Amino acid sequence: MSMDKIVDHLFRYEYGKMVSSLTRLFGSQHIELVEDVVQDTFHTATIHWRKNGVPDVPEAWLRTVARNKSIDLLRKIQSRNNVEQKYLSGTSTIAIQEIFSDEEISDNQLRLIFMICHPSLKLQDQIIFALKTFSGFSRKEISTALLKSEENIKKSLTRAKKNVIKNDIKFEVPDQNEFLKRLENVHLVLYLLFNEGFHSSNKKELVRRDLVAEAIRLNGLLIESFDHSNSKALMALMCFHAARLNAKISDKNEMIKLKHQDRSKWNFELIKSGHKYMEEATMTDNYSRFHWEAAIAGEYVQSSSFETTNWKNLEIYYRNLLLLIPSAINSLNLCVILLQGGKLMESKKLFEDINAEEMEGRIYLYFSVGAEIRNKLGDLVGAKELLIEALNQVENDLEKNLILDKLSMFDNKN
Amino acid sequence: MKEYMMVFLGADYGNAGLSPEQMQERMGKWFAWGDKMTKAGILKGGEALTPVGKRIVGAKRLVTDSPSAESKELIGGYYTIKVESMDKALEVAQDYPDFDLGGTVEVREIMVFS
Repeated sequence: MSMDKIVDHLFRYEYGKMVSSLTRLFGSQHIELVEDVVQDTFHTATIHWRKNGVPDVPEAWLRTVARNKSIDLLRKIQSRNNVEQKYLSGTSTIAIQEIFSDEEISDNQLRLIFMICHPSLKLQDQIIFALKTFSGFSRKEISTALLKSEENIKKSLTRAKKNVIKNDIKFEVPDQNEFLKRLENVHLVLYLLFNEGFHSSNKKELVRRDLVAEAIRLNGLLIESFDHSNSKALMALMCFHAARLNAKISDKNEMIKLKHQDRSKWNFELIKSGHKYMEEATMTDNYSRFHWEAAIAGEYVQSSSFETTNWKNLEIYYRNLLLLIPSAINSLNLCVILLQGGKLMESKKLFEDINAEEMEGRIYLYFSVGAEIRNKLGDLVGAKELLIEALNQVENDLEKNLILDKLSMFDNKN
Repeated sequence: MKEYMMVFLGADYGNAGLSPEQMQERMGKWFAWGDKMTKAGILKGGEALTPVGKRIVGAKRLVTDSPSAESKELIGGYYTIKVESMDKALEVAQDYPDFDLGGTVEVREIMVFS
């Protein structure tokens, strides 16, 4: 591995651990200072390693440096708290000695993610906060991954940190009363993180494996600690989707629709894991949206060809999902399933009830499905109009090409 | 095996006029010492104390400030260790980094009845 790769890798895996351990000691209100220390530690490491080579156990090296630097932090915080400024004794190291002990690290990571996913913070800000502070993404990486300006990312992070202080959000996993609600929030952030990786809004990169991997890693931590069936359902969903990653993008970096994917390229180990998680997740009577979404994703990877997909099962799962989450995108997906299952008029009726504005950035999907319905109804002119509308709204280059392909088929027909 | 408390008194870096680099170096020695004890499996616990405190003294319960930071009597913190004897504990205490600043380590056996 090259030096830069090692540092990148460490950054991803050590940053959040170090931030969470230091925040545990110094308190959530000082998280900004804590992040400065950790960033500074990586900066020092990069300079030092470039000159002297990477040490055998770079993680330990980083932790030692961060621990030394945290003394300065201690001084800053003491002076803020009006502790006699001049005084400093070696004994303060006793308070910091065990800061990175391994037993505490995963507990601290959980405290951090629960703190980040506090409901007083807007969902989008939670995601950015998580990517930065938990996962060690740079502002630039976040801006590329989420298609937002760096300036916006910066503002969001400032909001997030101010919010921690303003609402006095503690660095802890909330107790019984609030736990389930907050866990739900954490799930949602992980879900969005995963989705952002799986259907990237980045024009050049259709999938962002780093986001996918990070969401899975975090969810693994949740399952390990709380063993909640919703976490497992979410994990099953992630496994089923991730199993198709290699088949999703062609050699020419073009997206391949499920229908045309080479199913031998699917990762069957992941599919197996997905089923295992699903089995455990369904040992409850309370199904969450993730249960139904996992059931849907699992159904798709179940059949050996697109044609043999069990549309009936999918319809049932989607109807259940719609009861829990009556969103436009879920309705639209059900429209597609109904079309595939030969229920054209039902699909048309459902489509007409969809509030297109709800689709926001994915409005092109709405027009695409509408075009498909028109097409099946024999209204080729209407179908073509809708496809052109879809083309006007699509941002992703590869999605754009798919729509262009469909359009050219229409031109051939006429 | 017996438990001993090492109580650390005095040795304020600010008062000794150390540069930030010199402080950092000493802190590094403290950490190394802590790591050494942890590795040897003898470190049981410890706490650091902030320099600001109060004392209540005598029948009149007079409240006074605790010794100032300049005082050699100010307790900065303690470690507890588990070793076989006082001699061994004193040997461990030799690694205390701040003797040259006039710092003191008081080693006391922790009382147990068994």
